[in-house]
Amino acid sequence: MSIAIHNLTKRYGAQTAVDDLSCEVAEGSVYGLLGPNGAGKSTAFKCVLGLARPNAGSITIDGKPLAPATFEFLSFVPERPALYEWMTVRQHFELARRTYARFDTARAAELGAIFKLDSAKRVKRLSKGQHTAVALALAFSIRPRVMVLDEPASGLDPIFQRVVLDLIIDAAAGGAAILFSSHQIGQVERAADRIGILNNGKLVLEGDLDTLKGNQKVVEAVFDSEALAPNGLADDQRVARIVLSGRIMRVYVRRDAGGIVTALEALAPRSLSVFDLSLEDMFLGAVDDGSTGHGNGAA
Amino acid sequence: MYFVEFCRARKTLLIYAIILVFAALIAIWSIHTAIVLHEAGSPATDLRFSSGNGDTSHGRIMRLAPHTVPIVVPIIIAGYMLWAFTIALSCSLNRERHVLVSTFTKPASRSRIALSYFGVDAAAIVLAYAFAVLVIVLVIGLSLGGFQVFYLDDVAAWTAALAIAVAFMWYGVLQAVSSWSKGGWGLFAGLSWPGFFILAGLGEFTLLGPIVHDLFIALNVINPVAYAPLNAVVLGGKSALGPSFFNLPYEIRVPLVLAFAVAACAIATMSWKRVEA
Repeated sequence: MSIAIHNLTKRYGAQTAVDDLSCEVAEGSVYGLLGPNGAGKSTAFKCVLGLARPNAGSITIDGKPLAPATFEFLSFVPERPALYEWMTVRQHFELARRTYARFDTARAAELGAIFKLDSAKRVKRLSKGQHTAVALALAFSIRPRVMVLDEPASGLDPIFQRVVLDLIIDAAAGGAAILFSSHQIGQVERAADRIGILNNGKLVLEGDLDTLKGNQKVVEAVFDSEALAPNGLADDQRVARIVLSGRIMRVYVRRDAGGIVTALEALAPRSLSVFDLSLEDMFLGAVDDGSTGHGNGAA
Repeated sequence: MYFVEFCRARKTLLIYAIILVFAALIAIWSIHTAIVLHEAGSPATDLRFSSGNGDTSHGRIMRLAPHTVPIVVPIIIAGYMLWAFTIALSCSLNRERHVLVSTFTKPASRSRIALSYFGVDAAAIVLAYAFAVLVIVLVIGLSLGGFQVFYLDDVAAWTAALAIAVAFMWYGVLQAVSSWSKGGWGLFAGLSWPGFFILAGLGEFTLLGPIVHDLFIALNVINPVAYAPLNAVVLGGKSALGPSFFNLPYEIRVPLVLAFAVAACAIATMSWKRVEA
C-alpha cells in the first residue's frame, strides 16, 4: 500500500495551514515530514486520515480515496495519544482486538513486554512516555500496511526511542508505507529514505535523503572576535549559504570544500572544521526565514 | 465495536446502582426508625403514609394509601431518577474529544460508531430504569410489610413507556446540542436540569405578551420535561398522571417523544459526520 497526496490545501479561516502539499510514500518506504512547530505537519496528517476536510487536493491510499475499511490496514499514532483515561491498558488491547481483524495478540503481548507495560494499570495512572508506548504498541499490533506517526517517540526515553526506530524500520522492511514526523531529526535521518520539509504550510524541500545531501559539506570556522563573511564569498558559486552566529561562521558548500577552507584560512580563525551536511543542517537551512538570526549572508 | 460503549455504560450503571442501593438503605432505615418511634408514641413523628384519602387539590403532593400502593408510584419515582442517570450517560459521543482521533480512525463508518453508542446507551437507560423500579418497590414493600400492597393500575404501562421515552429524548437533545459544540458537554448536561424545568414553567408565562409566550411554547416542543408529568394523583383508589405542559393522550405522546429522541440522535449523528478531530 502507498500514500499519495496531491496539491493538498487546508485553510482555517484566513490562515492556510497546509498550502499545496504534494508527496508520495511508496510501499516499504519511510517518509519523514519535518517542520517547525505550526508548520502544518499535524494538519496534513489529519487530512490524510480524514480527520480534517481539505479545501483542495486529493489523498489516496493505494490509489483509492480513504474509506472506513482502509483503517483495517492503517495505524495512526497522534502526537498526544488518544487513549481512554478510565480504561486499563488491557482493555485498550481488548478494544483493538475486537476492532481490527488483523490484530495480532501475540505481537501485542510482545510489544507490551518490550515497552514494559503494566496491563492492569489504568491509563490515567501512566506517565507521558507510557501513554506513547501504549499507543505505539496498539498501532504496531495490527501489523499495519500504512502508518501515520505524528511524533511517535514523544516522551520516550532514549532506549525506547531506539525501540520505536527499530519498529519503524522493521515495519517498512515488511512492506509498510510509513509517513512520520519528529522533532528528533536524528531519528528521521536514520529511519527515513525520503524527506519533506514543511514551513508555514508549504513544502520547501523534498526528495530522497541521500540525493539531497549529495556531496555538500559544512565548513565551520570559529574566530576570536565576531565573525564577518569575507567579501565575495557569498557570491561564490560553490557556496550555498553562509550562516554567522557570534564568533562562528558556517559555510554550506556545494562542491570543492577544500577551496573554501583555503579561503577561510586566510582569515586566521581560531579553529576550522569540515563536516558532512546533516539533515539538521538541511532542515535549518530550509526553514530559516531570518527570524532566528542565523540566515545572514545566504547565497 | 461496542466494547468502549459497553465499558462506559457499565461503569455509569455501576455508580448509579451503588448510589441507588445506598439511598434505598437509608430510606429503609429511616422509615423503620420512624415506625419504631411512632409505635413508641413519640410526638415528633407523624407518618404521612397513613392519611391518604385521595385529596388531590394541591396537585403536587402524592399520598399513599396505607396498605395499597399503585405500581405507578415506583414507576414515576424511578422516572425522575432515570433522568439523572441519562444525564450521566449523555454526551457520550462528545465528552472525550481527545479520543475522537482514535474513534474516527477505526474501520467503521462514523454513523455506525454513533449508532453503537446510541444502542448501548439506550439499553443502559432501560436497564437503569428497571433497576430503579425494582429498588423502589423493595423499599416500599419492605417498609410497608410486604409486596402485596402493590396493585397494578391502568396507567402503569404507559407511564413506564413515557418515563423511558422522556429519558431517551433528554439523552438525544443533549447529544444533538453537545455535538455542535467543541466542548462543554458537562455544562450542557448540568444546565439541562434547570433549563428544561424553567423552560416548561416559562411556557405558562403570559405576562410578556403573546409573541414571547408563543416563543416559549415553541421552545418547549424540544423540551423533554414538557411531555412528562411532574406528579401522579390517586383518585378514589384509581391512579392517573398529573398534567404535563403538552397534555396529549399517551397514545400520541409516547410515540411523539420517541420520535423526537430519534430525530435528535439523527441530528447528532449528522453533526458527528462533519466533525473535524
